[in-house]
Amino acid sequence: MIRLYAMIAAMWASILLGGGLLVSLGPLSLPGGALVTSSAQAAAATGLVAAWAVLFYSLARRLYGP
Amino acid sequence: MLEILAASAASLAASLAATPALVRLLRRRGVTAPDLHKPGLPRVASPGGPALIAALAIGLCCAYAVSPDPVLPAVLLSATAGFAVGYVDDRRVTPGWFKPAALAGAAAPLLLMGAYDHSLSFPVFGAVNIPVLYVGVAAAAVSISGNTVNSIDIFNGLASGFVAIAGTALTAGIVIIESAGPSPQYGAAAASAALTLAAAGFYRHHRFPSSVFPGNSGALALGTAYGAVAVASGAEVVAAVAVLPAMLNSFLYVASVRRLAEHRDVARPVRLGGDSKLHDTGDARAPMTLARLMLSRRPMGEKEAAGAILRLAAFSGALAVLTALIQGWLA
Repeated sequence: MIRLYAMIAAMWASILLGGGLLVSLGPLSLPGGALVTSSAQAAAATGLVAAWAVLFYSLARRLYGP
Repeated sequence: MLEILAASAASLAASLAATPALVRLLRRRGVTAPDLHKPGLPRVASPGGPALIAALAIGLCCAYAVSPDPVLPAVLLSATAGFAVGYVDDRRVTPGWFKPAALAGAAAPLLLMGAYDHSLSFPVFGAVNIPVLYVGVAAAAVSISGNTVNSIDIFNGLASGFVAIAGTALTAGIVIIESAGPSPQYGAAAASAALTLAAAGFYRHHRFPSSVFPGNSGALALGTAYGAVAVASGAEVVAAVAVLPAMLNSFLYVASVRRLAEHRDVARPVRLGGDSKLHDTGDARAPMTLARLMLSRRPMGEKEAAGAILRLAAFSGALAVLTALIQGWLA
């Protein structure tokens, strides 16, 4: 159970830091249109979430076996 | 703040009154489901969704009578849509894609009634304004939340207990964030309190050994209401942190099955042993789930396993409140 608690804590920290990355991408977005801004951030957010899911799925498999 | 108290008291009283009445009605009509984790597979009244949505509606209406915040009817309509999707799923077999797709539509009342703010706030780093993207975020939040609570409904008392704990943390988080702002609005906190106390009242009858199951209608009503509150409150990150164990369970399931599939369509990850304890089946085709991770170490009784997951929920709830403190007061 300690591993699960550690995994939850790691997920929490990664959400805060990943969110920070997303926010920091804001100023880099192209000016002049919400759709453009949203598209850039959508791509970034999708990439972050995918990387996040792969990371924790791999971690769970590593900790608990196949 | 008075609307929070009104929502809490009304919702709890309605849940405590409606649930046993519904149990008697369902038993009289023979509407039951087998309890798969007990010897002899005893029949349990199901679905309890109507009692949950009635309690939530009464709580939200009482809060609206005290303070007419448009967030309250928007959350009620979203939860009712989630309940309706679940009720269809309780009555007939639906494909795996049905619930996620239909639940995305449950966000429509929030969007059409303007009960949201299109910026996403993160602790420390600040907010990001995503006016177009937020429509997708809201639909995804409500759909994922509904399915996440539904997927954690695996042991006696787990779905209702989990939402009661996460809802407590979310209510506290919303109050913390709002009270740190220039013009606090507690409508979303009242909606969260109504949800929390509806779940807590239901838990009294759902806990081990269950006399009622929420069914898809109950679990999806709880989940969509939770997602709707998250969107309406602007405390999306706090809400996500509070349900991290359930999110972990969901994405382990989807990542291992590699498609949107109903539990009935995949191999079972957990079985009841001759010792009346739950065991990992060891079936390589079965999905990876939170329960399976726990049981891979040692078998557990159902009550013990549910308690272990609820303690994880309390831990993530504490992290959610910490997130709200950082977001509200330390930013």
